[in-house]
Amino acid sequence: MTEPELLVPLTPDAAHPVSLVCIPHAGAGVASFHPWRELGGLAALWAVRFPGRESRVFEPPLTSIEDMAEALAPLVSEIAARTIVLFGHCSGALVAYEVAARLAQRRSSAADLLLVLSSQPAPFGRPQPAGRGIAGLSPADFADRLRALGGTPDVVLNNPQMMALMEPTIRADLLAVERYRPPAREALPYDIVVMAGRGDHAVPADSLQAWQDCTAGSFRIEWFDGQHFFVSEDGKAVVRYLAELLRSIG
Amino acid sequence: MPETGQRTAGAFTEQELATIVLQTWQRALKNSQLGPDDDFFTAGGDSLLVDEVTAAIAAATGIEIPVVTLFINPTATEFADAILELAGTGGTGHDRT
Repeated sequence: MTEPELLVPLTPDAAHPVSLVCIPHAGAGVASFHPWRELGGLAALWAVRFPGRESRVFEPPLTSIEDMAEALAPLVSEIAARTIVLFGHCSGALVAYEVAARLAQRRSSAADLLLVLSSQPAPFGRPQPAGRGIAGLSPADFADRLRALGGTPDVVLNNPQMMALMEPTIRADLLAVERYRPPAREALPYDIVVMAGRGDHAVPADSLQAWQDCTAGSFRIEWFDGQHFFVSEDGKAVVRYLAELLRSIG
Repeated sequence: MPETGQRTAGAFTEQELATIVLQTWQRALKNSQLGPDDDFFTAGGDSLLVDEVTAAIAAATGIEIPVVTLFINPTATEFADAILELAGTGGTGHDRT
């Protein structure tokens, strides 16, 4: 069956006044947001499937955060909602920020926007990658890196067939994050909520706080139990929190 | 090769295979409402579940199924069809890495 390729509706009620648009972590697609369908009464739920994953596994991945945002921004601006909550996890957080910057610049969306960003340092003053960058990692070292970060099951890491399919896309996404150097720009007119795992050693707390400089609106950090992938580790608390958030704007 | 037009996969008819595939997917995705034309990934299928259902259906049918099969055939209908092709050609019996 032919599906909408980039922005996939996960709940049928696309006419809801609030839309929650979910941008996944490096290498991931729409499946990771399936548990969030229970938010369906509170918002229309959309998830992003970039080329190179899931049913698009053989399409070459986009290689920069800006390219991903360019592809996504027009679709987000077409959503007929009063409020759009843009959620991005890991690499997806940077894509969400870049989409928001485009919408702010073009004033192309009548909707209010709220940015919810998780497990990702702010765009400016980003910590340099420790040791060799992603591009210099052998497949074995890259697998070790993913293992240390969590989020990629051992069944996948230990399956050469699976890794052959997934590694190029995960690598392309992480490389895009590593190379991302946004232009200096004014703070966005949108509120920002940062979500973070208390045990996430990959993302220092001050780099999360630095997101505050990206908004002229309100800012707060919400902490959850878990590490880089607290969104699934502490999944129930995350859904509870998002439900509360959506109710407050609904 | 049977020339009756009735395709088979191992010991199974096309119909039986379609049922095996759909029921395996429904169990793995914990969704008894999943239809034969629903997208596996949109229905919550992640890489772990790709591996699980591919292995389960390979075990049930005795047909070697490369992991890539589900990615390029993301509905139960397409996946069952791909297995019939695999069974017909016997092309992937020995190259599973």
